[in-house]
Formats: sequence, C-alpha cells, structure tokens
Amino acid sequence: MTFTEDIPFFIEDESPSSGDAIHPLTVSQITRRIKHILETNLYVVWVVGELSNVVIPRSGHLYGLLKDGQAQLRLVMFRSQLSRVKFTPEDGQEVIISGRLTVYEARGEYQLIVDSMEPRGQGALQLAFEQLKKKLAAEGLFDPARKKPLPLYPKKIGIVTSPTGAAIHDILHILNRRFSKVDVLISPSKVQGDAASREIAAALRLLDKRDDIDVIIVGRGGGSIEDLWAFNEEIVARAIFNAQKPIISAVGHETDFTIADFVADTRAPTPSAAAELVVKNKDDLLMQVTTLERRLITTMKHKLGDCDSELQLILQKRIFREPDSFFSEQRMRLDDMMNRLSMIIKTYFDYPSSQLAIFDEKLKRTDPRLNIGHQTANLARIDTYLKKIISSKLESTEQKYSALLEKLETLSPLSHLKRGYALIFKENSGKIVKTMPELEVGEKIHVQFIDGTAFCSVNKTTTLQRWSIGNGKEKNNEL
Amino acid sequence: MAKKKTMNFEEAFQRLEEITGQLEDGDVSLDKSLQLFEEGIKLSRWCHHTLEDARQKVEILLKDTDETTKEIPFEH
Repeated sequence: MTFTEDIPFFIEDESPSSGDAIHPLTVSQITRRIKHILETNLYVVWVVGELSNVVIPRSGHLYGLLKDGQAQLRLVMFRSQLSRVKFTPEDGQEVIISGRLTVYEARGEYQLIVDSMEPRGQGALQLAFEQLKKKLAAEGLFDPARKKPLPLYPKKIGIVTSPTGAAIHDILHILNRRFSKVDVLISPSKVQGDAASREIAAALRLLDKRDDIDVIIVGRGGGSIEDLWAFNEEIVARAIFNAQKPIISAVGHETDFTIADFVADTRAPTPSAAAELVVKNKDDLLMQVTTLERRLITTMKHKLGDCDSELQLILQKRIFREPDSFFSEQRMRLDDMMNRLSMIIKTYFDYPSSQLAIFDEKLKRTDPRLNIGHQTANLARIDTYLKKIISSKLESTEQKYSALLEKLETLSPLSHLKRGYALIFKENSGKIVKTMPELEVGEKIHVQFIDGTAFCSVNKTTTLQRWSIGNGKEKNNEL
Repeated sequence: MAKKKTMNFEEAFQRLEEITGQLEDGDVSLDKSLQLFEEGIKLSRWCHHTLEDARQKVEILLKDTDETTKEIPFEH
C-alpha cells in the first residue's frame, strides 16, 4: 500500500534530539490513520457477546451494542444482511457475529458492520422457530377454539405440495388403496428454498377461495430442518390461519414439528396420514348411514302402526257408531248454547236497547189512545148508568101514570054519565053549571048525556038548601 | 333442503341424523312424519351414492399467463 508514504504513522518523537520541528497530525489525519489500521488489521472479525440496545428503525437496518462484562462494541447490520437472519435479534441474546470494523470519521467512533449473526448455544433456525412460535401463540394463531373440524367426508380435497415430491405420491397411493373416490386438486408449489414459503401461501389461497374444495392438505415429504423451513415461515402460518377451509398440515416425518403444524386445524404426522385422516371414515359412515336409514324405516313403521290403532280407537267412538244421535244431541246442546249466548249478548251488549224498551214501556203507558180508551169505557159506563136511571124513572112514571089513569077513569064524568047523570053547560060560555044559582031563567043550556045532548032553556028555578054545600054535606045530610 | 349439487356430505348426514331424531321423538304429526321420512330416505340414498361413487378425478392447477388458473388431469 502507498498509504504509509503519504501519512506518517507516528509522531516524530523517536529522535527528539534532532531538534527538527515537530509535525503534528490533524484530527482527520490521525482518524484516517486509525481507520487504516483497524480496517486492514481487523478486516474480518468474529466476535461473541450479548446484544443490547437493539433497534431496527424504518430503514430496516439494525443498530445496537454487543457487550460483555467489561466492554461494549457498537454494531450496525444493514437490511440486506439482516434479512438473511432467520431469527429476530433481541436484547440479551448471546450471539456470534462476523463482520468488519470501520471507523466513522465524522464522530470519531468505530463500529462493527455485521455480516452474519448466529445465536450462541443453539441453531439460528431453532431460535427462529421458538421466536415465531412464541409470537404467533401470543397472537392466538394456535388457539384450539379457532380450529375447524374436518368434514365428515369430503368430495374434493385440495393439496398444496410439489407435484414431483414424495408427498403427493404418498397421498394418492393411500387414496387409491382405500378405494376412496374423492376428487383431488393439486395446487403446485415449491416446498423448499427461498421462494417456497411465498409459493405455498399463494397456492393455499388459490385453493381456499374455490367453492369445490372441502379440505386442504398442506405438506411435503421428509427432509432436514432447512428443507422443511418454509413451513416454519410466518407467511405460511398466516395463510393457514386465514384460510376459510379446514387445513391439514402434513410436513416431513412424524417427529418433525413445524409452525404450520401448530396453526393448522389438524396436524397429520405425514402426508400418508393426512390422506388416511381425510377418508378414514368412509366405512364407518356407510354403516352409520345404513343404520340411520334402518332407524327411519323402523320408526315410520311403528308410527304408522300407532296411527292405525289410534284410528281404530277413534272409529269405536259413538260419533262414528251412532252419528245421528250424536248430532241431535249436539244440535240440542248447540241450541241451548245459542240461547244462552243470545241472553248473554242481550244482558251485556244490548244495554241501550233495553233502556229504549223502558222508555217505550213508559210511553205506552201514557199513550193518549190508551186514555181515550179509558174515557170511552167511562163514558160507556156512565151511559149505561144513565140509561138505567132513565129507564127506571120511566118505568116508575109509567106506573104512576097508569095508576093515575085508573084513578082518572074512576073520576071521569063519563062514568057518571053512564050511570045516568048529565052535565049542563051554558050555551054561551060553555061553562059547566054546578049550582042552580048560576042559571038564570031564560038562559039557554046544553044538557049532556052519555049518548047525546039536549038543547034546553031554563024556565023556572028553585033553590034547595041542602044542596047548597058540597057532596060531603049532601051525603052527611042524606045520612 | 339445498339442491343435491351444492349439498355436501356433512350437511346431508347431519340432516339425516336430525330427521331420524325428530321422527323417533314421536312428537310429530303423521303428515310431518311422512314428509320427514321421505326426506330422510332421499338423504340416506344420496349419502350412500356419494360414499360409493365410482368416479375419481385427480387434477392439478395450472397458472395461465393472465393470472387465471385452469385444471388439467394430473398424471401420476
């Protein structure tokens, strides 16, 4: 290198006696010299220590410290290198780091540019596995409550695996051996290598969104932990977790556990086992269906038998044996009920009209026609009474009249005339002459006999004393 | 009941169990019983048929250039 020729390595203090002028270095010069020494002599270093103050800002680079009991070393790990670290660097982790030392001249600081980082004591993959498992468990991706049951009997199985791998071969072999006739749709994917995890996730999503798939097997055959690593990646875990359909994981051998196994709804120890899980129920199911059908038929037979005997029982009832009497009785009951009902209706629902009836009744009682009737009857009564009175009066008057008539008869002058007496009337006045002094001599008189009249004139008069007073006196005189 | 094409085995089987249970409970009218029985027998036949179906298709998804996929028979 030509470096040393330009910049003196040492302060010229080795020959102070020379008396020559001292040539001090500038800060930049000394810093650059330090940088040179560090970067040439400690170009690639391996350091072991404990991580501390680890931060990964948005830029994606890692900054932190590596320390032990006595000292600490500043670290930078750029994003591209960091992406190859399988685990997540965290404070407190013992790590083995390889890198190169550089000096950051502007701040006079030196730091280790990290190339690779491995956990101390265990493999990086192992640590990464533990870390992701812990993280996803905390998020609930392994929650048993979230796990979906397998379909009883799928019509179509989706399989995410390599079409050239052992897994698909094993699965199809089992399905054929079981005489299982489920349809299979393979969604091909790389199952190892850097791109595998993304491909697995994508292939899984393709199957998950289809309508014709009942269950999905995700897996591959056995291999090293590196071979199986894709199934420990977060992207695969999340694709499995987000799937709507039940997922069976089938990765490697029985002893291999991957993150996919923890997230999947069912873990099959191997791809063959996954195939058996999917179709194992076939014979059981056939038997169960047959049993159910037999139960259906038996129950139906019993049911029909029950119904028949129930029918017979019903036919024994009176309504069927003597329908007429039954109906007439029912009719009577119906009438009775109708009566009761109408009474109830009247009582409870006919209030206004019952009031009306009362008014009507009152009105009837004060009906003038009624009064007229009464009065007519009175009148008739009075009429009868009057008639009775009149007729009785008439009767008595008639009796009196006939009595009088009889009396009159006895008093009539005619009767006297019959016995020879005569009546004398004055001719001029027609007056009856009762006593002699009423007459004058020469006066014309009529003498009335019973059977005729004699026209006479008075020739002479004489007075008889005894006859001067009435008949009684005359009779007394005669006695 | 859904159309047979869209019905999966699980639904059919569960319905069959349900129907059998209902019928056995006895608290169903004769009319309803007959209806259930008919449905049950149909389901049972369908389940048998599905389990013993002789066809099997094995296909693989192939990505087309325009991001769509198609299924082609898988040779194994």
